[in-house]
Amino acid sequence: MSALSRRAGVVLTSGVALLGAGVYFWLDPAASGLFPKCPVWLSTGWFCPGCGTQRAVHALLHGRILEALSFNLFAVLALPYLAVGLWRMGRRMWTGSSSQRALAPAWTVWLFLAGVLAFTLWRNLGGPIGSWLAP
Amino acid sequence: MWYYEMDGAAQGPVSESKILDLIDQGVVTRQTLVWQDGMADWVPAAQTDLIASAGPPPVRSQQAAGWDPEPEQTYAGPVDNHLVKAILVTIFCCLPLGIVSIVYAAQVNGHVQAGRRAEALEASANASKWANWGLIAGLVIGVLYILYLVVIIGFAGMGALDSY
Repeated sequence: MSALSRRAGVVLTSGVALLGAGVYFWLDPAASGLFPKCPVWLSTGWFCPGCGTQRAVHALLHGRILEALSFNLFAVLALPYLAVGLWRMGRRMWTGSSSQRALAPAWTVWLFLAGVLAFTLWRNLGGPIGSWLAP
Repeated sequence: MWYYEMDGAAQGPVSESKILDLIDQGVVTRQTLVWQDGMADWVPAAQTDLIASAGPPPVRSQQAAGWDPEPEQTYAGPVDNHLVKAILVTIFCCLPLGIVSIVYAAQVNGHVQAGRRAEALEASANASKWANWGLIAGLVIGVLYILYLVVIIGFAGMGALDSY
């Protein structure tokens, strides 16, 4: 890929992300019928690990962190990691270098996976904590 | 079917004629690691008969090569576990594909830790593949959804006109 097309990709992706942030700032996914519903929830009635992300993003953009956490704890906690990862990915695309940090020990990723699965299960079980974890 | 390594991630599968094209274009070089079913480990393309069948190897003077014509025999570049993509699919596309990708990401880290480079590259390719399917499915659903909204709003608009 040429430097120009790589950089155009970075600019385009950032532009779409900014546009999306604008949409999720001005419109409330909880109140507007315009936003897509989760296909897993629609077809099975179960909450997937991503359910509530749209409402959480809206709450976060308005500075309501506790509300965002209760819509989707996992998505909000993953945001700092995603932000750093996307920044590095964008920088690699921009400069064309393949430099990359060493990987974390495997058990951290397995623990993370266990956390995601436990979160998904718990938010479907109900109860005082489960209903807070549910979107 | 061949796999080749690029920026630390396995690419492919591609057909033999496709990888010969990539060699002609200089995308796959003599030092690029390649692998196909039945091979024990990834090897530089120069050690396979791909290079021989793609035409003569490039002429290089011994001075330019610094007396070391194969400097990258033991390539040890980074391997990507694609965890960022996997998490994005999990929280935005609402699809179990992201979870599959996270499982492969964990395997990448384990293989890299244990020095099993070929397995790490294979797990990396799988992590990337599943996350990409999730991203593509998410985009397709998103675009279909927008079309659906446009049609619904269009019909509502026509209905409003009818009532006048």
